[in-house]
Amino acid sequence: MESSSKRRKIGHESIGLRHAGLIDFESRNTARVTAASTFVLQTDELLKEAKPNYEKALHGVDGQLHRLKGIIDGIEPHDPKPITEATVKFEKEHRIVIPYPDPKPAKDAPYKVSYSPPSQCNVVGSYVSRTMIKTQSEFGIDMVVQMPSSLFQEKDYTNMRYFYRRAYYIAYIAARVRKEFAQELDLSFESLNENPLLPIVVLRPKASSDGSDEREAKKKSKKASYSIKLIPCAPDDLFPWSKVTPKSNNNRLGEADEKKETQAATPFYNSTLNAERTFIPYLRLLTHMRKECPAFADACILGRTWLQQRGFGSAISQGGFGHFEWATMIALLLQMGGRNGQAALSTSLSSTELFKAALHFLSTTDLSKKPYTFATSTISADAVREAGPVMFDPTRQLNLLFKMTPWSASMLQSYAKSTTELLADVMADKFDPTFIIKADIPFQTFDVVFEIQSTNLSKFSESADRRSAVTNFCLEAHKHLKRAYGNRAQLVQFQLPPRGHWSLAKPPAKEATRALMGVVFDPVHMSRQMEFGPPAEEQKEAARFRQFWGDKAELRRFKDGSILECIEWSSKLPLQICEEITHYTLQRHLKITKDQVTTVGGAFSSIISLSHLDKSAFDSARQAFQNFERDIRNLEELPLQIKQLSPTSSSARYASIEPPLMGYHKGSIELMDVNLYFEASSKWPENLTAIQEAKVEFLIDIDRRLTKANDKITTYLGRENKELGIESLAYLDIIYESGAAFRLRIHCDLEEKLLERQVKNKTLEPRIREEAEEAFEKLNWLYNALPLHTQTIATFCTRFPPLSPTIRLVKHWFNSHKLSGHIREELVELFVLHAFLQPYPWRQPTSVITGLLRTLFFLSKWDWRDEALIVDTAEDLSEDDRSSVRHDLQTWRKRDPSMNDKVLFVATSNDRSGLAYTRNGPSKLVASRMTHLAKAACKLVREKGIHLDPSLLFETSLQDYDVLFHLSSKAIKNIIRETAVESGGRKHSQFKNLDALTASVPLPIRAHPTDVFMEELERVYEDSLLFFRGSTDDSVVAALWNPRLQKQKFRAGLPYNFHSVGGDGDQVEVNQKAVLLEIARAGGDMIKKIEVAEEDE
Amino acid sequence: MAPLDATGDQFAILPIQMPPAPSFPETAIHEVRIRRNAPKIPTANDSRSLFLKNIPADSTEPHFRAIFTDLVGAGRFETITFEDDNKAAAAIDPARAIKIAGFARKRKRGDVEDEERAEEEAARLPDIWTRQLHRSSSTAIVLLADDKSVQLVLKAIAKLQKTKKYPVWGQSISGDVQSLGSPWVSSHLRLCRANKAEIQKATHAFFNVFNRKEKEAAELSKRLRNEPDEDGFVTVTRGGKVNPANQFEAEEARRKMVEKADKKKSELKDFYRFQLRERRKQEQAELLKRFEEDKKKVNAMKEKRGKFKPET
Repeated sequence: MESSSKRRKIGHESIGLRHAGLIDFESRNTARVTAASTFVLQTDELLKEAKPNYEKALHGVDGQLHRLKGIIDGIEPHDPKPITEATVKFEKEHRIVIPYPDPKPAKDAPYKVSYSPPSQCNVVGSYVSRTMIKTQSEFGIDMVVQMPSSLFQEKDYTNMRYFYRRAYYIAYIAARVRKEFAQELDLSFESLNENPLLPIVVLRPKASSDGSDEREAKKKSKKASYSIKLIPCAPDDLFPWSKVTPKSNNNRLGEADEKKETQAATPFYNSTLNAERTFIPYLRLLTHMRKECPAFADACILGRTWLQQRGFGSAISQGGFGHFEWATMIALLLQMGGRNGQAALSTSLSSTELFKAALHFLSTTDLSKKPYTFATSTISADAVREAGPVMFDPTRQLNLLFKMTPWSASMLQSYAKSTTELLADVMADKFDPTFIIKADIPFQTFDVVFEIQSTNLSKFSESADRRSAVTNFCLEAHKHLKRAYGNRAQLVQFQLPPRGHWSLAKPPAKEATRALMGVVFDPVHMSRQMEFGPPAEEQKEAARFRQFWGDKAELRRFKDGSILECIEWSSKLPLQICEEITHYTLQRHLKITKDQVTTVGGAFSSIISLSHLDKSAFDSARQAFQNFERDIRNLEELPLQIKQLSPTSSSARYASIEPPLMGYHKGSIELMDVNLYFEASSKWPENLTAIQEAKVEFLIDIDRRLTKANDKITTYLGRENKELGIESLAYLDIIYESGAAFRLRIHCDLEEKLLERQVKNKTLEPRIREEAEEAFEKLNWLYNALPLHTQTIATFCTRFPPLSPTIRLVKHWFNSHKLSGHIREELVELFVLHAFLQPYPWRQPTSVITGLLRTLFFLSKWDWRDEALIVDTAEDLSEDDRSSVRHDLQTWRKRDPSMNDKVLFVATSNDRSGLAYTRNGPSKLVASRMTHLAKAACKLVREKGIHLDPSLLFETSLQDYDVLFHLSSKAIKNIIRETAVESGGRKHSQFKNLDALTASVPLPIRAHPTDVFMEELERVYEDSLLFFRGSTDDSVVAALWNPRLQKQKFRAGLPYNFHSVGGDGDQVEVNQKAVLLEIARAGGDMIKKIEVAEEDE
Repeated sequence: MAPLDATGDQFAILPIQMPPAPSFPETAIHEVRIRRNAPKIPTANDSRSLFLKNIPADSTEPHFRAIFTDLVGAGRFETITFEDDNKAAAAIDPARAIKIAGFARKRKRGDVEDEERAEEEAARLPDIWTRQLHRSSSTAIVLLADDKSVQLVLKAIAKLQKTKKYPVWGQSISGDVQSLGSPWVSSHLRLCRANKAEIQKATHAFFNVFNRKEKEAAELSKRLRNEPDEDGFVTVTRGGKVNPANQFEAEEARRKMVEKADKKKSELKDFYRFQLRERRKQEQAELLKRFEEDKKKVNAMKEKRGKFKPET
């Protein structure tokens, strides 16, 4: 060991892993250990894993490249010929359509084309620098062919002449290469980075066609194929930069009005021309950097992975920021960009440090607002300003980001910001969200996606800048929509249709005419119904406002006396408002009618009826609680001082699926659970049973005082489903005339202490201790955990507007998959909250759709076998607390490896044990089912993309269960109706106006009849059946036989209904039919049908 | 002690035919296991009672009366006690009473005892279920008229194995059996809405009993403190001469003590230089430990394949 570490210090190869030496770390008084965090160790592993084995994956490629170079060098030149003549001759002879960019050269074009061997033929890019990664969709090997300057004339930068010559050149090479390589390689044309001006030739290995080893071929194709790209490029200094600055106009072809005096600048065209001569210089730069900075290559790999997981690439449709741009950016930052012409980054940084620094640079530099130049002093910002994002390299005089659009720049910045936030977040797991998770699924990223079908793009295809028509269209739409949304949207993103390759003998396929647009809301502003413009006095501003919005703008006078231009939208929910704005803006400015714009994924909010009134319903429920609290506190001369009243129902924390409705709409009453806490007192009796009785006395006393003080309320004393014992006996239902209803329970602090003492008392019988423990946990949950939880969720719901509807929708998901009987709703709320507090790799969800999908995504990823979920609600958990939770988990797993007990660990700031939420389940079976369902949902989302039908996510699957109980909703409704009136009261009548129910207020019931019945069944069949159910309205309850019930030998303690089966010994197994008959008898008319799944075999 | 019959300590199987239900139109044979009752602590009635295991969840006394009538004719079946019946008798004794009772067990006079039992009866809360559903596969003890009936029952069961004419569940039931299903649930929900006056009466009764017992216990403990027992020892009990100690106050005192000790400790932290040095050393060791843990974690991840592979 010793010698090896010494050797490592001498050798310089391993400097990339700078801490490698630290692993053998012995001395205690160096604090440098902190530098090596888990993240760094993990990235090292990633780097090891990510690098492909070049020998294996790209076997024989070197030989092919050499041959290719030989062939290209050997092509014989020909003399200049007029372009039209040469084209016709060439196309006829080789059956290759020369890929001239649009518009094609005129028939009477005066200039001539010729061919002469390239001055250089070189392999560049990630193949040379060895920075490819395994997960690339295809290994691309770039070979540049530098055209000699003798082919060009001085004025060739104008009117696309350079590009025509280039196209002819590449077609000419293609013809020769095809002759030589026809056997082993497929040739096709493609646009370089989807830039329509730059056709290139791509060579791909032919799929082996012999049928014998088809499987092998499949294996090979799975292994990521490779492609060789032949890219013609310009010689150095072909055109002076002064001619092709972003300000100049060099293309007059295809302009609708050619005689226009003020020609618009053509920055894209110019930058494309500029970039043509920079292949070789950048190759030199990158190779130089690789030598200078040992961690450079690794930093490139990290960057490449990061970009790829976010869907970024060099191609225009992928945002125009790929591996090349990343590598160049880092290389330039290592050379310059700092203060006083110094380098911004040091070459001695490690790969992760370089990666972090690059991300920090991207997140803090707003590229679209102010053009960024490395080494600011040499070039003024104005000289390089253009409409899109700018990152200018002064040495090679190129805007690196010319392929990027404004939206992809802001998207990149948003991702960079989210990742820097993540890296700064002590709490989060940093590695997975940064490199592992694929984060480019539209529905997980955007709050709404529009598909815009535009049939008439001709207007946009004629611009001089020669971007594709769709790009131009999107740029235009982006400009208007951005203005229209204002601060309502954080991001407005367009997804351009990707352009594929086309065969040599055909012209390129027509461009698609549809674009996808995604919007990320700012939830605070998107729900605003009014658009406020400038005041009427500011005439210029007002005129501009009117000009933008047209007839929709109106002048209004507001309460504070101001007179403003404004617009009112008729929709109420954020999504619909966004839709309305989009339709209106596109119609007004781009003449795109409503039916050309399809909203994808709008159906999410219609799954449960979310409405804009929900929030006020919840607010009024909380208001009602405050009134109730005041009434209770105003009671005089209570024997004990009231310390606190806390609500514990989900309706008090904006989280119930149905918003609380005041009044009597459903024939039953919804009550809000409230806990009443008294100041500590020594007056309580020192006996648990006596405390329970004393509580009942207290409730009766409070009841008496309340009804005396307020004659507008009715009260009912209710009994819990408990016999006299150590657990609570009763509660008090208080119903106001307004319809607000509360269920009051009393907390006694002595009870807690007594129970705790009983649990710890080793002299007691184990059964009593167990009972006491159970009662203690229940008490702790109801009186300590639940009020705090309610408070926390309510606070976060007011802080994040989309949280409340998301929680409700996710609860619906759990309901529709019949998991809610096992997974507490409070736990579901924590899952959603976690998706909001730790949204990485995205930023915080801003709508119901993103919230739901990311919660499901989290659930599908969560490996609860090894990981505890820690929701730091108060942001006060220290690293030690966290590691102690993890440690607890490990101890439990060691003690109980098959996880019969304590499956999920969920810790919060209030509960550090990690068990409060999950003590009563879910079991391992249910937890794995949850994960499976979430995984299936995520798979569906990924596969369907934007064609996802949201209702599919909520479809219940019943095929996996052993038994289905179909409950009779009629019988259950009858029970509700019967129990809602006093037993001696008027009978239920078939005439509505004679019905006792309509005449009076319904009485509160302890629980929903389905719940009561299922509670009993769960108690009785605790060890034989696992019940799965959703909401109380769900008429199907499913069940599984406990998988642990195997055939076994009879003994008197068996906890299930058994019957003997043949065989030696006294073997018994569960008597399924008898159990089902028992349930059928117990259910009586409540069960319509019991359905047993057919045996498979 | 009655001699054990052929099956001895073994359970005999009593098959019961379960008729089909409308929601589940199939029949089944339910097997109740049955044997002579032999509890660990013998009672007077053991010889004429039977122990049943795996009774149906919806069992009631009339159900079993019908079954036994079918087996051995009317008049033999006396009563049945289910497993969860005796649970309800909860301890109302104050904490002190339980403790003290261990020191001196005193038998009360019969009439006083009866009176007290009546009081305790009054303290019970009204039932909220019209019919109990038993836990699956629970037990019961059947009390028969005499020892001979036990023999007869076991014989009849043995015969059943041959004739295959099993008794049918729920047939020819005499007496009132509350129905299950929706009437059962709705009556429960109605009973849960308690009558306030009734409840208040019950709680009053409860506290009468409770206070009496507490008083008795206090008196007893006082007496114990003053009187040496037969060996001449005096029992030490909690509390002063005048007032017995209260749990609450004791706890409070303890809390204060702990607080005081904590304060004292914290004042002496970082006082000497060696303390500082030691602390720093500790921190460093912790850092090292954390680093090791990180390494372990990464290695564990490495073992699980695919952890380091970016998703595609």
